Amino acid sequence: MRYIEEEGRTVEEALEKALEKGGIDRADARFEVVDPGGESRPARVRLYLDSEELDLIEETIMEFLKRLGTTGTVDIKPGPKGYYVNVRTRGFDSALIGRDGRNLEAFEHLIRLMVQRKNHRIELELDVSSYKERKRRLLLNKALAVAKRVKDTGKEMRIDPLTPEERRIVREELRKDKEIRVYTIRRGRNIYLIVAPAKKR
Amino acid sequence: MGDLKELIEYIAKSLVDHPDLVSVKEIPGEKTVIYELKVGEGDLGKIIGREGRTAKAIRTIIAAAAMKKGKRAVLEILE
Repeated sequence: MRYIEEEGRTVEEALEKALEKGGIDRADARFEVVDPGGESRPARVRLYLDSEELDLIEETIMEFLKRLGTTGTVDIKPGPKGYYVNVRTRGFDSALIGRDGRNLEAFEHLIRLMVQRKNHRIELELDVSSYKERKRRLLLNKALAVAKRVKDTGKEMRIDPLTPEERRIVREELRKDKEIRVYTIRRGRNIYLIVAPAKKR
Repeated sequence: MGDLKELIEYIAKSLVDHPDLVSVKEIPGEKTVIYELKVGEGDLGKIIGREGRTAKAIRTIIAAAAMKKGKRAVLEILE
């Protein structure tokens, strides 16, 4: 995934700069307004350099939705793992998310396979109505609340079992806080994250 | 539930090297409809996936689509 970002006094100006820099025709351009700008700050536009990749992702998902008997919108942004693709469907969101996001995992797996069959360089994370994004935010809030309590009480705390991906997200966030340390313990099948004060009192 | 058959066909055809060898047979039952999916010999691995992940994903999506219609569907992949 390649893109460039440009600033300008207006969105139009920022877009024109980006188009010129990227050598891309306006007719083929896939871009988004990162910041519409205001009185004191410039407008910011993100222009994707491989618009055909975004087209392929969008077409694949729209065709899949059509076969499911629905329709929807596809929003594509850069994410930590290639493209972050958020889909909103007409009436099929909860069916495609499923309990604990299990159906979403299946949906993502199939879309990824279909897209990568046509272009193996494309990496993407699929979301439905920001389900994963919301879950991530909840998880981070929980982790930050635990960290605060550990600092207030000086006692370590255990976080309920998480998936490997969730543990990675929490560790990455809590690593920024030098007053605490995070380690894992294994109890039977479960792996727990322990949040502890940085120094033993 | 004719469109579930089409959905299975569509998913299978987009994953294999020989879409022309994909066929789906619908076997209606009282409560549950069984779908038998057949693909070309060399394509079975593509439908099943590493550790059966792709087959599981197809089953999950088909079950979700069926439930949306208030039905039950079972997908069998023929070897």
